[in-house]
Amino acid sequence: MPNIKLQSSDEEIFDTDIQIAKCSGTIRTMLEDCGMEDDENAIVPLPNVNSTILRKVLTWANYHKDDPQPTEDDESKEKRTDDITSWDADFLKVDQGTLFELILAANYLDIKGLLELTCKTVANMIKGKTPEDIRKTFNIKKDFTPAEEEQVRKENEWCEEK
Amino acid sequence: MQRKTTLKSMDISPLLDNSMSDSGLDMADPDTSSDYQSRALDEFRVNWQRELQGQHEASRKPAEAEEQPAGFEDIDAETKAQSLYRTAVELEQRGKVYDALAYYRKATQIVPDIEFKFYEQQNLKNDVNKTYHNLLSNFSKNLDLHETEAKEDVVPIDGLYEKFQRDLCCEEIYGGKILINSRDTNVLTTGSNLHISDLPAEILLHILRWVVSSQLDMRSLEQFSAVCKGFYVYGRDEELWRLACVKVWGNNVGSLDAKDGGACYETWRDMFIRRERVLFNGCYISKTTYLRMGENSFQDQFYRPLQLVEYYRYIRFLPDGKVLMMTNADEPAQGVNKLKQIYHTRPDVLRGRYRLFGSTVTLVLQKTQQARATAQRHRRGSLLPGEEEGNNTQYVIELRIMNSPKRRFAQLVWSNYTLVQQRNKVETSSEFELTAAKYPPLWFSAVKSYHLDADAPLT
Repeated sequence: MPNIKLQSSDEEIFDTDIQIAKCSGTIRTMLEDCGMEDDENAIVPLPNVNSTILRKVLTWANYHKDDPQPTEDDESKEKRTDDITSWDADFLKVDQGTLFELILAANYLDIKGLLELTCKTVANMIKGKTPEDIRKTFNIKKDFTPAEEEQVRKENEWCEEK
Repeated sequence: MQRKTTLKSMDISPLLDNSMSDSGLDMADPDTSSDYQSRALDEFRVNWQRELQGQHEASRKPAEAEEQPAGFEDIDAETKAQSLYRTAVELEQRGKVYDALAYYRKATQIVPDIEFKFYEQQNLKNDVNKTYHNLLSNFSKNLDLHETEAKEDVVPIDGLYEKFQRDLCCEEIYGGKILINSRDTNVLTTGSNLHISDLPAEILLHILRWVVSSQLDMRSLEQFSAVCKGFYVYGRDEELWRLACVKVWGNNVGSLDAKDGGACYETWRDMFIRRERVLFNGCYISKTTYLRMGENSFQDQFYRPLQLVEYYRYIRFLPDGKVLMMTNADEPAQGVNKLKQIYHTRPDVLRGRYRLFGSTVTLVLQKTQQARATAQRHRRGSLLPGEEEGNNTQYVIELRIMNSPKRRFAQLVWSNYTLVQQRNKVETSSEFELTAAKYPPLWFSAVKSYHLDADAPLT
């Protein structure tokens, strides 16, 4: 397998299997458009990703390189398991800042699987929580006036559990 | 209907004695004089109340005395029998049939036809109650009206969305972000210091699609919007709500401005909240009970003359147009768990699809796939190959969506239930008789575990 070199924002070089690097839509396009595939010494610059995050992203990509491509077939949708695998769960045991950086990196590198996984993880931190829980989880300041807060509560009253 | 006729016959007796004593009203045509009737009825009520207290007036007309052949001396016995009978009814309603039987027996021993007497009394009481109740509810409605008006005066902000959007433009407070980081910047943290407000809008909206998920967990979205002004603006995103509406009503979703004569909605969120639909964050449950005679011939230490049979019907709607129905004897606490798995359902769960038409939801259900698979395996050894070919049983159910006092769309009332059988390419359909005892309305109850994890993003 040929390798290519990926360069992080802090100028660290990652010698990477081309198949693994290609799980990123951004890298795939770059390689194909610039004809870099055959050039052993080409360096792909990734100015939006630092080395810590790029290392994590590549670890994830390496583990998932043999995953079957997701199909839109309705039948397979019924059978798939929606739980986050234990490997992924361990992989995402990171602080919130790192999680957000992974989201940004997955978005920039166009790695759909990782983006969905990380977004889903954040969503599960929100689902079923009270507004105060969410503020605590994400360090958010409540900026409503009491009257505004009361009105929002009224507007949302329709779905309150009684 | 029945109540009405009994009431009328009860009206007549006081009418008779009153008219004879004090008024010269035309007795030949009592129905036309409604004023007179209601006055007479009121008078009767007063009399009846007195009667209940056992304070009989000696001046009663003989006509009325004839109505109660039991005589005055039996009044005490009768009230006693009535109270016994009432206890029995309460016990039966609570499912304590055997205790109830003892009380029924005692009551009938005192007054053999207590059932009819009680029934008539009950009708009268209902009528009185209803009048009072109406009066009260009218009164409280008036009160409510004032109350809501008063409340609206307290909170005069309208268009929170626009207001918050303006607020968020304030550079000094928000610095171009949508929310304020409450983290103390003096506290050093390990790792990255990225905050949720550093995520671009399109990613935050994508996360919200996961929050809502394919289960349409709009409650979590509403909680999210109550966090701060920025999240409020995101939580009111029209595209999210439009997608949710499309999921619920499919091709019938229509538009907001009601071209086809339907209702008008301000926003997609408004449609989601107000338009008739079924609820997804739980399931609809009804309880049916009936009595079955015990079988005496069998040597059984559990023998009882009557068996109380209780069973529950569960219906869970999924936002993608699928529906699960199950009927069994499990108490709701266990029953709802059996409908938790939506992909690998148990064999006793009927699966199907539903559609919403106005305030009606129509379900078409079939036995689960697994059950069909075993049927096919049996057929292989069958002497008549192809016998079951194309045999198919479908349950077609129509339910009316009603509101409960506490929650919108929380009650489903049976309006049609048909069994469609296809045998040898001949389709027969039979309609079930929807008696209230056998098909009581289904009531919604929320089940928290149905919405714990996002399964797929809203698309």
